[in-house]
Amino acid sequence: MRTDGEPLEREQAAMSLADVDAIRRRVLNVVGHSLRTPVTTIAGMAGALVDAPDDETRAALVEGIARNAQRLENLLDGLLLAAGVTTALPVDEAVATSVRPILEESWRVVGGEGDLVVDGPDAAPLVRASTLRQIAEFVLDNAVKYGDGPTTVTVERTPDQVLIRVASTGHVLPTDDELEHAFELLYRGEHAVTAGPGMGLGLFVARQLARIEGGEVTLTRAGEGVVVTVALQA
Amino acid sequence: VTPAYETRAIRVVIADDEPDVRVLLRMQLQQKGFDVVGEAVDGREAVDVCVEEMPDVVVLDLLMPGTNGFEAIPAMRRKCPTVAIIAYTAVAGEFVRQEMSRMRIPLLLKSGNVDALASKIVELGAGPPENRGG
Repeated sequence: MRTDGEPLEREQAAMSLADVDAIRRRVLNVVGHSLRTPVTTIAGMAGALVDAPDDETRAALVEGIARNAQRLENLLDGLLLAAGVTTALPVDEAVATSVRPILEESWRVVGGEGDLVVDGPDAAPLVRASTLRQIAEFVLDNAVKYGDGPTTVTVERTPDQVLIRVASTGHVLPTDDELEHAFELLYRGEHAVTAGPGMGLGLFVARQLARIEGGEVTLTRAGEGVVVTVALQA
Repeated sequence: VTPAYETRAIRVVIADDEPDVRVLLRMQLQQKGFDVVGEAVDGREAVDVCVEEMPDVVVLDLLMPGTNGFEAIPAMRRKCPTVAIIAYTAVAGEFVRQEMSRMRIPLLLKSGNVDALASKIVELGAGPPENRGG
């Protein structure tokens, strides 16, 4: 507590330290949660392989292990990028990359129910395949995590861009303020907080990755849900 | 491996928003001899499935989109008083630990090893229904 004559800077510094401590605890908590589910799933599935009764079950378990390992890798890359570490960025060259198969595979990785419906013709923006995969997984994971209805994806080709629109209906619509802050690191709107685990990492990282590729990610409200638009160079 | 306890009659519902967790738990619990009679992806569905199936035990994730597990507990208690609830979560802060303790709901952290969960299901599910509520 500040006493008379004590420099204001000290109080501000103390408040900042308290803020930093609160943020540190929150980050460790959400990182712990985000890591624990895929790690325990991999461990459990590996253990269950021993007693798997048939080849079909074994194949499902192996696929589940690979999917959750991919989630861990994405989380790790996202955390490194959020920390400003660029050593994990891809080194391959940007080439014309077909979006449809990557969207469909990403949907499986994030645990989307059923098949993903992609409207519109396939398109091949100029982007590193590994980066497009990461962007797709972060954006689709966001739709699965915060939506409570079907997720629909449309692909549109303009003269100089490929636009991927991911529309999902959420149980609580984000406010204007939440839309504005959605791309800030570790920001989680009220609708996100009540939706369960999450880090406030996905949209931040998706936008950073898109910008590295000369593109952009935006978020808008539409009807009873939201649309995340990924714009990439054609 | 044959479990050292009789589990065949115990009926279980799994509530978790993660499809892989549901698949894994179903497989692990069936391997232990439990009868997995239903699954739910959020708290509201968990209540509906429990009303329909009246299992002995529901394994309830606490953090789920929509109606989370935490919010579903009062309705679960009211509509299915004989269903024993086990809170099964990836992380549990002090508030969650205190609340589960206050409501006398056993709390287990998610683990790849299902033995602790299986033991708790047997402990709660094998008892008389009137003893299962909080």
